[in-house]
Amino acid sequence: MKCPRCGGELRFDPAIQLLKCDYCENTFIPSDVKDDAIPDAEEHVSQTDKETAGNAKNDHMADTFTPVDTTPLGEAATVEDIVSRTGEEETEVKDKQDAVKDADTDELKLVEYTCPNCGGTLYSVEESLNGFCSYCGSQVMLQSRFSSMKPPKGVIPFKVDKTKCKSIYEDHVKKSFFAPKELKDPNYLEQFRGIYIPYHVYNVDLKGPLDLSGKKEYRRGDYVYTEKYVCHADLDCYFHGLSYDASSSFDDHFSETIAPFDAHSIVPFEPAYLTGFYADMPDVGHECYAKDVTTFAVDEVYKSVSTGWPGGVSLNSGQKSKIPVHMTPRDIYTAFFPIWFLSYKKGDRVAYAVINGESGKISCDMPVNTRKFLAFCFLLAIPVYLLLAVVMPAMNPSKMIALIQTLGCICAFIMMCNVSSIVKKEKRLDDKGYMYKYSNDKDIMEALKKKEEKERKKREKENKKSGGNIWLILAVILCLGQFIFVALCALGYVGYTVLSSGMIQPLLTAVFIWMSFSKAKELTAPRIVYKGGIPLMVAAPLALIFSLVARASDPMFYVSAAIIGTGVIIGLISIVGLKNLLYTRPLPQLAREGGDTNAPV
Amino acid sequence: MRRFDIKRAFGLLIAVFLIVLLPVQVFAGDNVKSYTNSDTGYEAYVDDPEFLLTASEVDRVLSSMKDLTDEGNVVFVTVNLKAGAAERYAENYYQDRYGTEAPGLIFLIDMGDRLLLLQAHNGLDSKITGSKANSIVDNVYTYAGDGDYAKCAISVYEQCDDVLAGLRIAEPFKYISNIFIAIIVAFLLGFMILGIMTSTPAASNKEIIKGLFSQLGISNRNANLINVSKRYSPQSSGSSGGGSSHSSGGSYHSSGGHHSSGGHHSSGSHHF
Ligand SMILES: [Zn+2]
Ligand SMILES: [Zn+2]
Repeated sequence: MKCPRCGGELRFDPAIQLLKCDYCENTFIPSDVKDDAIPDAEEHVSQTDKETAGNAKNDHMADTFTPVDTTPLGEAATVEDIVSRTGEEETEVKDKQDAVKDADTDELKLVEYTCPNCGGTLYSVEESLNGFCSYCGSQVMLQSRFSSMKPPKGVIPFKVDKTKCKSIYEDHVKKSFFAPKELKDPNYLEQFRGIYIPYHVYNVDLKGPLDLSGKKEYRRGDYVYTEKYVCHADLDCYFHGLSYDASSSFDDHFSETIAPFDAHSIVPFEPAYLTGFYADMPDVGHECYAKDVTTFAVDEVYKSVSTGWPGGVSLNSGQKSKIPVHMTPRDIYTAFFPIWFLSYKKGDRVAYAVINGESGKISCDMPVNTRKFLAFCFLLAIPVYLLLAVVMPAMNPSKMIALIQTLGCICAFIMMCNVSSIVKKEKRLDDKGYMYKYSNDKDIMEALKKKEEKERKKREKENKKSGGNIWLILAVILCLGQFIFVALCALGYVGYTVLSSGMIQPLLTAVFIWMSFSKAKELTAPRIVYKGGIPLMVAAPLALIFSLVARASDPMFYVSAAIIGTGVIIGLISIVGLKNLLYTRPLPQLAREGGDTNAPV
Repeated sequence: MRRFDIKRAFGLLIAVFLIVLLPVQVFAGDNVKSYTNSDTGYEAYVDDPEFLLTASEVDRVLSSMKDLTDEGNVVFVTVNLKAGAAERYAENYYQDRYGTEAPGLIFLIDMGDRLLLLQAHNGLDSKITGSKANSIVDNVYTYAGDGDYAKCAISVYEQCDDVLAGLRIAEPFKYISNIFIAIIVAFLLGFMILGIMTSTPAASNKEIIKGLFSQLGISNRNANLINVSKRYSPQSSGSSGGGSSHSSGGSYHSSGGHHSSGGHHSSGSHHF
């Protein structure tokens, strides 16, 4: 975008929330300046025509409702105002509705940059882009072409500028003791990129009369009285501005952790806000999160409705579905939310740092500097050792070995947990938006649905049960309790003997490791799990055999302790490697973009 | 149909109650048992005239004594004596049975004085010293207070075994295995620190709502009574589950001192 005064390059400046000319330092209100950077836009407009041309082509909302030229930006109408007003004045503004339609077909012209390595795409209003990819972190020349998209209705302009963003990040890295030192390199920090991520913004209303069943129980003498009630209330609730990210390449984990964005700061979209920043295209349908939105709203309302009834009346359970929810596609719109994005590539892994461009909240994949972490652990072992020398009671050697075996069990368990979290992260099972886009046959969506159904049925069953014979249930509980108590008394003795003899631990260790292995098959790089797991799996039973032999010849105790101790430490070191996988992610693959079309939603 | 099911369920429940409770209440008559270590000739001997142990407990206590017969005779005895008599009684009991030369341990529970006493004789007294015996007995008096004499005795013998075995392979082993344990524990702590440092919690509902245009308007609340039903439920049966337990909290006091009355022995005792 060019400066109307001197033709210099204009950029949006978060500090003043205005466009600023690189050259003459004049400032402009974003809605005043028309986009003429894209060659196939209309021919050059002279400076005096600009206002009128701008008005004609401008986004309908700014045009029809708010004289942006005269309103200071802080008080500019928000999209919320506009959306609610469109609702109220629907008949009144018939011709304006037509303007909305016109505006909807009006396309936003952008330059599209594609990474040849990973297929990641970024959009910009400018034709210059430094050669690196924000998604895979590789230093490549991006291929560019012109592209157009349906403009979003709203935008939250960047409030955190790059300097502030860098200092937020630096503070965070300073606190992350085990972070690799490359992360602190100022040159690397330059790669922070401001990207507008498309979000679906949902407005949900819960209005109307509500009749719920309730009851009150009390005792009088030998009788229990149950009073049944119809609890009536008139709801007039709404939640406007709930947002979920609409980009499949932006991990839901990040959108959850850097949330919330303040819906109050959404303003009508102007292409001028994109100057100096980049944008991503929405590729996840809004229906993907519709359920989350209504669940959120219904839960919140139900929480308030379920208390505060007069006379101690309480509601019967399972009535959430009676709450009236209204949300139509009309109540959903797309908006650009500002995010600072940084990627760190190491080998075939990549780590992202993400900062909320409005609030400054940060969320990071923080890779672990293995050497630093190991050094820390071995140093920490010294004070722990000194403490143990004082605290550790006199123990016979086989119990001591059993103790190390128990620690081995814990290690194997941690290994299992880590492997399964890595699988979850690599397959992005928690990432609904990604699932939505890349599970073609909708298998996973189906599975999710089934799981929800199952849980609902279980809940219904439980509700039914609690209405059944309470005495029978009480008797069963008492009886079971008694049985468990007696069993525990017997086990209290047996269990202790078994544990202190170290017989059961190798078995448990083997089970946990076996489970890690079977999970690890789904990983991109499972070798590290085998490398750490196999020594531990072998060491545990071997150490047991040696400690049994040692009853005859004491030196074998040392051999046994050395075997299991070494096995566990190797296992732990491999867990450090696993942590590194857990806190980073595999490079985005070009292959998965195969089905990708650049068609906007 | 439904009624029948409930009846049968109750029948089953009662049966289960009986089966579960029966073995707990069975007592055996014979409470003297011994075992002789064929290698060393030392004996493990349980003498329980006070019937503090069930037959199965006698077996368990006896088996916990077996390891110690590598080092000497091991005796468990229960008595009912006047205050202050236990020390002398234990000494005489041991000497009557094994003489004044054989090494050994005797653990005595005196129900008259409510006292636990552990004595080491003839050679073992240098390993299980008076202060060690005291600390061993200190560790177990709560079991005796709860009436779990078997656990009490077993724990005493296990601790003796630990002390003797610990002396046998002694300190170097402890220091070496502590190195491994320290490293492992340090790693586990490291993971915990790492977990805390890298966790970024998702925004709470409260935070999310703060950033929304929202309204929680709930008006015209009223609850209209539609019917009342009553159910007969006698009050007395209302509280069957809540038996209150009174702890028979005698004030425990430690009589730490041991009166060494000649001969080669050390002892530790504790009232319960
Ligand atoms: Zn200028
Ligand atoms: Zn790339």
